[in-house]
Amino acid sequence: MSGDGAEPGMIREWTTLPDGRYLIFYTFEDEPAGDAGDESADV
Amino acid sequence: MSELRWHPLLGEWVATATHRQDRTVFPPDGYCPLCPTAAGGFPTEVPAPGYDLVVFENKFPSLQRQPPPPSVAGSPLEPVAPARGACEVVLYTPDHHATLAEATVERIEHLVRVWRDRTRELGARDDVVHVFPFENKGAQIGVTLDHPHGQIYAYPFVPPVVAAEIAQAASHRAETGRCLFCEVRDREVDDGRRMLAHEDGWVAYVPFFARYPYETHLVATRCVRALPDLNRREVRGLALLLKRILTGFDGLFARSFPYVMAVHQGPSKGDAPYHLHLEFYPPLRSATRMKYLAGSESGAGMFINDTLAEETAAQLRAEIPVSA
Repeated sequence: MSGDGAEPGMIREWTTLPDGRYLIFYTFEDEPAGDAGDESADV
Repeated sequence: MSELRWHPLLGEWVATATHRQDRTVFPPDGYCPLCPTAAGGFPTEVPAPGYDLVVFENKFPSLQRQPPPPSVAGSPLEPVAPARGACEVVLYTPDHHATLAEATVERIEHLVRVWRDRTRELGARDDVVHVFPFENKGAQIGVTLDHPHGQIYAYPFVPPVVAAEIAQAASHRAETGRCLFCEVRDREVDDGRRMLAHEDGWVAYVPFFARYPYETHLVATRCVRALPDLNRREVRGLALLLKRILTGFDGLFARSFPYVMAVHQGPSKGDAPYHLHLEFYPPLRSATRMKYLAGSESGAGMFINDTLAEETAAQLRAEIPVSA
């Protein structure tokens, strides 16, 4: 899986280790200026 | 063996995790299980020659997705439950010798975003009620691996410290209609003597009621419950503030400063009153002396602080770099 459900600019790559545990590689892309990424408004 | 046993005298759960006795303790150079796996080299936990940030399920978990049945039968007085939940490890960087204090603001910002992502995902699970990111740093804290990393526990209940804070906050709200955390923060800002620094959306101070010398709280200026409530500006502000506070810690005694970092956020289920903040518990009371949790702290629950918050705040403030 990659990028599933991740926030903008975040890439998640899931893998399963030999004993069944999950491991997630996180990488990040530069977000364009003005990209909200703001799930909640300032108050 | 792994299970939850109820402590009827304190009204809280205790996790047993006997497999943790076998976990790796300070492996020799070249055998760190948290480093990337080099071509032809020792196979570590991370099956890749490099990484940015990594999260994985702890090999020696106290809480797990599919826990074994309890090893003993409980009773109505002392119930036993499967140790359900999650224990994750968060690798901050592939650089074995780095620390979070030495990381760039961008890397720290990415870490905050990972915390937020894991809070959303773990908190959505039916078996998870509370998500707790934290870091134990330094041998003085009991760390067994030097590689820079933190952890995330996902509990099937609200843990006792957060539950106590919620009870206090609920009582205060019932009496005054106000957020207890906001009032404490505003009092610190108005007083100023224990203030350390501020960045966009955040303030840092040694609280008036500090239990540990150099105890430090980072508190959101907006009344938000949890990491997923943070907007982009507040995430950046927290990263900037963490960088400055951690740099100040290292400057205090000219050494890599040990601490427990606790991210306190509201439970993932329900709407209990809460206010997102981070707490640092450094175990040092001087460059060479430890603050131990001894008789009064461990046996009676009353902390004794050998320092004054106003004085330790002034010492720390002098070591914190100015805002970029």
